[in-house]
Amino acid sequence: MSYPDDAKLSRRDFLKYAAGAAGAMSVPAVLGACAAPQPPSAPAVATPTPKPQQTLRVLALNWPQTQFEQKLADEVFTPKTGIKVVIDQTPYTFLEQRVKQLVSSESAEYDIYHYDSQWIGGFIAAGALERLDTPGYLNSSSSEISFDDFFPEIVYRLAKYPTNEADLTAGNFDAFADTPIYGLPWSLNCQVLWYRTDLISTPPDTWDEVREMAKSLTTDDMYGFAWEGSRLGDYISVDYCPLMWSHGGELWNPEARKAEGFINSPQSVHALQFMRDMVYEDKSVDPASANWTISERLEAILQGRTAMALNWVPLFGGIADDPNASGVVGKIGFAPSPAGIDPVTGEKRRHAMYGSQGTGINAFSSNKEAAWKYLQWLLSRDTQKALVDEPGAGFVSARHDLREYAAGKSPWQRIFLESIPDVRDFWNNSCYAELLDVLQRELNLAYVNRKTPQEALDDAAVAHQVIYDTCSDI
Amino acid sequence: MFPWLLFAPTVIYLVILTIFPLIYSLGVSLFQVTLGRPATFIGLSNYREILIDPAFWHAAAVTGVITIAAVTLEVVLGVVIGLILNRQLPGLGLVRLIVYFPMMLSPLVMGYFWRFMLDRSLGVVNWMLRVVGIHPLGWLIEARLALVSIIMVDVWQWTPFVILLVMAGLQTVPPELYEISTLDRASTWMQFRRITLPFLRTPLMLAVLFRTIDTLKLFDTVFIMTGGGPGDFTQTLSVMDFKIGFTYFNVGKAAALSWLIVVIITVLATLLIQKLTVRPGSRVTSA
Repeated sequence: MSYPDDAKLSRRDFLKYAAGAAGAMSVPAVLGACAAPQPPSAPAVATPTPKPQQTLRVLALNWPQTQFEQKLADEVFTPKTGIKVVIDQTPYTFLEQRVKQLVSSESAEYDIYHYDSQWIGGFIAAGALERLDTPGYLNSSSSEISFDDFFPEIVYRLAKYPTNEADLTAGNFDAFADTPIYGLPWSLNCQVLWYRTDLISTPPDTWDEVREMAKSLTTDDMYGFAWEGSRLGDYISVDYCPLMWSHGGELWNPEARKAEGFINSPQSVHALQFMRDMVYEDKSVDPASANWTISERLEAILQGRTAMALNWVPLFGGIADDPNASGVVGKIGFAPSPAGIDPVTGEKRRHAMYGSQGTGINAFSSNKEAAWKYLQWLLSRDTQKALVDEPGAGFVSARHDLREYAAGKSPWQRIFLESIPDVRDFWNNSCYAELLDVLQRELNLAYVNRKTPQEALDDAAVAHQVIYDTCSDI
Repeated sequence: MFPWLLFAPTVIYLVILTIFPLIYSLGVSLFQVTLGRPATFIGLSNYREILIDPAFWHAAAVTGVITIAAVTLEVVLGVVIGLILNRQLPGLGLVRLIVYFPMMLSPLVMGYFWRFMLDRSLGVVNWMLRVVGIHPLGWLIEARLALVSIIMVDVWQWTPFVILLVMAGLQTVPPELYEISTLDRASTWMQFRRITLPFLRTPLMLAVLFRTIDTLKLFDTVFIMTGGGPGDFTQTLSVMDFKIGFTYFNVGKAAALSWLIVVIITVLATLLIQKLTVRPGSRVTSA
């Protein structure tokens, strides 16, 4: 009788088994590819003519407005111009990487890229975006749109590069009169305070009031406030930054290219301590929020598990009153991002986190003329008004001539427009991703109690200084 | 000439899709390549920079812990469940189908799926713990638990792969061996040790080989579930490589790290394959 106790395989047998095992392992990959989420299909086109002669491809974020943009393009732009528009939607987490990969290969696959405000420096350094303040585009006598059509507080951060936050926050837009333009506004957003109108009659004006109110509103079934504390993307940073700026903190000193004494200033440390104390001292914030992104926080609001939270408008404004998505329809109010009191000077400041996206023409596109036609149509008054009119699109136009119109449409559109003077953004240079990753890591470590706020921000200062000293674009 | 013509498509395929990218990435790893700037030759600086970076050694340790724990559990559970499912009992066909299901899911979908299930407040896992009177756990927000969660999810998804191999191996055991050993009054344990386990040796070694290679490259589930957090506590080598390559877009350094990962995997895989294979003629046969 044979027992293969010590038997080993011949190479032929090994390959035979290995091929079978590899086949088994490939099953999830194949099924995964089959099950990969597809962008929503375009709505049926009602207008039959003319037959599209050209196809324009847009790489977009999967924001609520995108499907309505596709619908409008199919119903209005394509019949008018004969140019078919295909908008590919990508989740926020992956869009930046995808564009960078396309740019590095000088790809002409897409004619138009949507981008977040922080990415502009890196994209321009890579030569990804066509300059638009040139005779072929905005400076053409036949251009149907002008850069002056849009309000500068929002659009300068998206379209011009290089800029600086100090002048933009001070409203000194003349400083950028000759700064090149690379994009146009696509989706405008900032974080404001969402609160439950059935529980709060007057929304809190300052962060100290938020904290007190959150404590009193916390019950067994509901927390008073919600942060998003995830280490992924920019989630914890976009909640921390407006809190920190409002308390008088800064991320850095751009003139001196210095982190020490700014990112770890007493005001910055105070803000991070404040954030953490709401979780562990007051217990008015769910500790689970240490891994929450935009989705979990929105879910907490819509399921009635938190009384207040910062959240994006107009992006999610329409969802608050959608009975298919929300369990608190008619109970959500919107107030400006709370003000902070500087613990050192006693000064009161209010800042809202900026989070808008722009759109630009791929510098390697072979359809630049058609792309420019599309952008002129997209930014025209009629198209922008149609998007404002669609509550599900979560949209506010950057056009001056639609400002009053949008403000009268809904509370969330109005609060965004009121918050414009308060918006601030973080870095937008080509090294922003490294700076942000360090900040995310350190803030998250403090949030989960692995470091004190002082330790976390001291470590961030050291790591940031290395980047400031070595990044050629800063 | 004709044999070479038949051989040519395979060679062309390998050169274009495997050999050229490998050599190209090796070249890239010797340059400083960042998006939008001309590449600069820097020799082995990328490798040196990675090897002196504590983050690399931390990520290597995390990857090692996940690999050892996950592969061990997958093999042990795979054998136990495989033996149970190999019995001829009514309804087991359906159970087998259900057991294989996790393996068929895309890791990305899986990551989101478990991320929501393990949420401290909104997740179903803590809800079930609360029902039985256990305090909810911070699965994805406490450093050690986050690592345990990642191992747990990998085991959940890939134990079926080991079960599949084990069940294939069990089909090769001649039933008469059990009959004879029963006549010889061998105990169940003795039958398992002396008959079943030797026949499972090859499938299990293959399972260890494939799962080790795959777990050393673990990316999707970690990236989606924790993003490498809290802090960098669950950052694996692949997550670190992705960040360097596609977030910082430091392509040269990312290529260097990829090569280091390739070297680690190749050394381990070669050792395992050597254990599995012998030169022709040295095969052990019966007494």
